[in-house]
Amino acid sequence: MKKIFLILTLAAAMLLSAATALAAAPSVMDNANLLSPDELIRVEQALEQCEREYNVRIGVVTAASIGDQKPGDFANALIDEAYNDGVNGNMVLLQVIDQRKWYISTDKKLKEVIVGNEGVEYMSKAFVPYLKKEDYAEAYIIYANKAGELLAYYEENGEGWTPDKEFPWLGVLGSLAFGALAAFIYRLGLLATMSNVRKQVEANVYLNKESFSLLATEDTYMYSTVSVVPLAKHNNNNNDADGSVTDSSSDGDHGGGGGDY
Amino acid sequence: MADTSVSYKCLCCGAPLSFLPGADKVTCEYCGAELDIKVVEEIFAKKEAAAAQAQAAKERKWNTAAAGNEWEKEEAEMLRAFTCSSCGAEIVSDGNTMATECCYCGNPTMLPSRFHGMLKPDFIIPFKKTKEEAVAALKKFYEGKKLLPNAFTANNRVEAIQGMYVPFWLFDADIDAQCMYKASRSTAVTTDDEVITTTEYYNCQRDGAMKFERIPVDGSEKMDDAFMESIEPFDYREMAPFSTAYLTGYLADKYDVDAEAAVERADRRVNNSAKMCLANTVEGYDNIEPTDDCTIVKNDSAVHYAMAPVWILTTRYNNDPYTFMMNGQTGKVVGSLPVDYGKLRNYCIMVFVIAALLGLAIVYLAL
Repeated sequence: MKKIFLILTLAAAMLLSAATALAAAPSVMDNANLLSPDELIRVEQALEQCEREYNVRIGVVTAASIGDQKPGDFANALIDEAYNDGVNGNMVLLQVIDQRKWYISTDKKLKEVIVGNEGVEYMSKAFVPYLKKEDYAEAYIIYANKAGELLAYYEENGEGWTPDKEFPWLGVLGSLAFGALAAFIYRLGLLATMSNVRKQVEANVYLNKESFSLLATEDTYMYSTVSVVPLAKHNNNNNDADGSVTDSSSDGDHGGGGGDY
Repeated sequence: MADTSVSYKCLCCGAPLSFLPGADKVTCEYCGAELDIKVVEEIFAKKEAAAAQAQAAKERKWNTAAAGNEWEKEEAEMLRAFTCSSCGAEIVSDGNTMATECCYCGNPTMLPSRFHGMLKPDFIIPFKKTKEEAVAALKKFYEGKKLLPNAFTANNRVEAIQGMYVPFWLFDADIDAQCMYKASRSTAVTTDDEVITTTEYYNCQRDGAMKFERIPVDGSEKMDDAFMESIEPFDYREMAPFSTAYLTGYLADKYDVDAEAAVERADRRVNNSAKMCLANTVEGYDNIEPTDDCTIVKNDSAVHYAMAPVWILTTRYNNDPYTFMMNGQTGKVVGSLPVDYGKLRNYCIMVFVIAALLGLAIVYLAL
């Protein structure tokens, strides 16, 4: 056990030192070999386009394992050591294969752009479904696009996006639908009060209750049906992971958050 | 010429007699004389027989001495003229009217010739509610109706009000019922991975005997079935053996839907009630569905012919007539009121706005 632990730690250290050694780390460091060459190019193009447009560094790092280190701490270290040359800020998405975890870390500048868990979830809710489907290239491109959207919002409004600044269309539509339903039910009720003319369908009033006698009862079993509903599983596949932020290693110099996929 | 109709007149003063609701005697409203119903019946029985004969005689002449336009045969069947014994005016009524009042002098008038060729009612439920009570009950019926047009209540006058004895068939039945139900019950077992629900289905047979007493089905074609079923029930404890004396002062129709034709409506209600009654004995299941497999056998049945009291009130709004009916015994009013669709729209908008604002407030607080 100790041997495995040592190997994993060394692997993580090597990964980090490799990143540190590079003066300008590539936008994608696919250490887990998840992307084909074509996919790698497509992802890099998406990330670099965003980097050029907003003068930031946005990276994607994949790792088969980081030992027993927390993905948040590892990603924060990547920001400090490898992705630190963006003029307007730095951000990295770390994907750890053996833990099936992801983590987005930002520096202090982009902490103002990617505000709190909601800001991270704005991106992760979009790309985590693709991580689960193992469509990694698409997940990383979406990550780049969503980062671009948040940067554009910040540039336009001078402050980071938060859900309360978005008009709650769903809530408004729901309220209108609730109002319409209430009005419809009230309408039926009001109209029903205007007439009490109804045909009788039964004669219960005229049944002599004392006259009733049950003469025979016979219950015959016919058949059975069985339905099986699987319970939500909490295994390594994380089928119910929906991109919610469950981990955070945010501190004074770093922002971001992470979760399962 | 002999009278073709009989007016019940006070034996003391000769004023028209009317049966007062709630009384067991015929009372003269003018001199206050109280006359026993049996006495009145005996005295006027002979007059009725004479009037019937006179009417028969007149009818024999009627076809040949028709003046003016010829009645169509069907119209002649429907409309008949009678002579008011009080003022001598010609009263025209339809073929089913047994009792009415003269439209000229208001004299309560019986048409005994109409009793021929038909069954005599077994029972009568006397009027307990007066005309004034009927009008008051109708006004109370309007109360609290949010959609009632203002003009309807402000200018509302009862255009016509008429007490009428409506012919009813009362069905008694001792039945044996055998009905099948499909019932199911479910049990759920939860394991670490799944919830396994097993549902067992059973065919439940229930045999039962029960007795229905006096299910009313109106025997009048012109009375709306829905109205007649809506004014139910009547209190049969106050039902009395039929006497024509009760009819004075009210309209009375003889049946034009015979008992055989009314059976279907009674059967439908009996079958539904029997199914419901037996379904209540299917216990221990989560879900019970009736099937079409239900056999109802009538072991013993009887049909009685009765006259039931109904006040018919007519009002008019925007040139449309609105008819209401009141159970002349219990005072239950039924009818359909006009709807102010402007008010309906405003109420709906108000509820919509309040509910939508409430929803928005919840959304706002949740943000």
